[in-house]
Amino acid sequence: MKPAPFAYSRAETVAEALSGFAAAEGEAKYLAGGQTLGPMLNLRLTQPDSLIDISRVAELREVEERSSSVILGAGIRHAEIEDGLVPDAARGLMRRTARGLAYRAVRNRGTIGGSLAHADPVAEWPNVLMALDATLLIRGVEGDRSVGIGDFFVGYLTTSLEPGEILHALEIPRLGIEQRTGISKLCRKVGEFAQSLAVTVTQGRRAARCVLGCASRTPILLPQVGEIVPGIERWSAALRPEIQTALQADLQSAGVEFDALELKTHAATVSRSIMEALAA
Amino acid sequence: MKRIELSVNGVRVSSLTDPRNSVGELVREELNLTATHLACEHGVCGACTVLVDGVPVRGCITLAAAVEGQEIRTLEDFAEEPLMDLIRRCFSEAHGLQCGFCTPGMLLMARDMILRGVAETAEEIRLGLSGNICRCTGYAGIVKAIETAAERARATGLAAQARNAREEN
Repeated sequence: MKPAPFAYSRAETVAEALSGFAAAEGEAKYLAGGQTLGPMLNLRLTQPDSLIDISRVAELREVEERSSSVILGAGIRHAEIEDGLVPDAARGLMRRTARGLAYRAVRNRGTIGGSLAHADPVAEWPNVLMALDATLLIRGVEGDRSVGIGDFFVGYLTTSLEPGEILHALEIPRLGIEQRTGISKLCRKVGEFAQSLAVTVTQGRRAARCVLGCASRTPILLPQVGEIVPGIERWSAALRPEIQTALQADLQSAGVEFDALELKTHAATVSRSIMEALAA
Repeated sequence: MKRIELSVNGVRVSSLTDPRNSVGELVREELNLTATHLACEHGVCGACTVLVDGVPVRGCITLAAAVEGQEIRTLEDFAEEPLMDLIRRCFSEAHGLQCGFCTPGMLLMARDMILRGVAETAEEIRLGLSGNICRCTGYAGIVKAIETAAERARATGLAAQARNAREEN
């Protein structure tokens, strides 16, 4: 076996998980699908004293369709999104995203909430849900709260979850019929984490929400790139320099350091995500 | 240590296991089911693929304790299955293996792809296999084997038959 020893318990309800965490001695971690935590345990990058398994908590797997949004339990697995077993508020973007995420055997266990709580800026869901402006519903011993995704990611692998709090569900606004989406991921091998990842969601005549992963410690919004999108009638390669200039300005105002290669790489995925959105 | 009960290849198993044991270790070390291969042990190579409640998962990063009460199937359980027999023969015909280390994972993923109907084209198969690493063949034989198996499984009705059997369970 690879991991350092830990105590293991399985919670059946969120309340049980919260009290289990509070009662645990030393460092405790929640275990959902375990597709990130599993490798980290095996490589001993993390050595918690206890694991509280929340993968079978039924409350974390609930789905609710509202008129203007869809609420997905944090325990919904990537494969369930890929297979269309849960509603896609983003009119296809969620399914397309799930399909390109890691590998099927990983998607069969990994959860959307686990990916968000891990907050890796090179992973798909943090960037896609940022572009979709999702709201995260959180439960803790102190009570329930919700936080906009822009305030959720506070640093590299760091969220605004307090110790012991559980990401319970995410509320994803439904896209309008005229809204278009695009995602572009660049990686050396299919299923690997991205070297660059860009997502575009158009907002009609308003600026598009363009998000870039892999450039900084969290996903970052690209407001100046977003401003360009409503003015584009048809995609043309001639738009690329303009997009790159706007991207450069966005990266600079976000205080991100980059070299010429990184700028070109990110400009390529950002352009492709816009191209895909406009072609759809 | 934790006492867990689960089903492995249709047999009820009760095991006193360390919580940090993976499913892959449980089936190999305790049950002597050595078709499941542990290699990278961080979820990259796919040699440890097993089915949990009918779907392929990584045996190396899935804790045995986390699948308590669930149904595990390893490659051994498919020895008599007509669809797997077909896939195996296609691997043999198309030179879909050399050393054979990755083959158990390849076979289980191939079967899953055929059942889900995502083994129609070589490109689709390559995409579906991206999580299974082979260091000998260069993949061409494996892709060819799965393409042929998918075709024959469609033509002979084996894919539909296996799909129905899964739904009945």
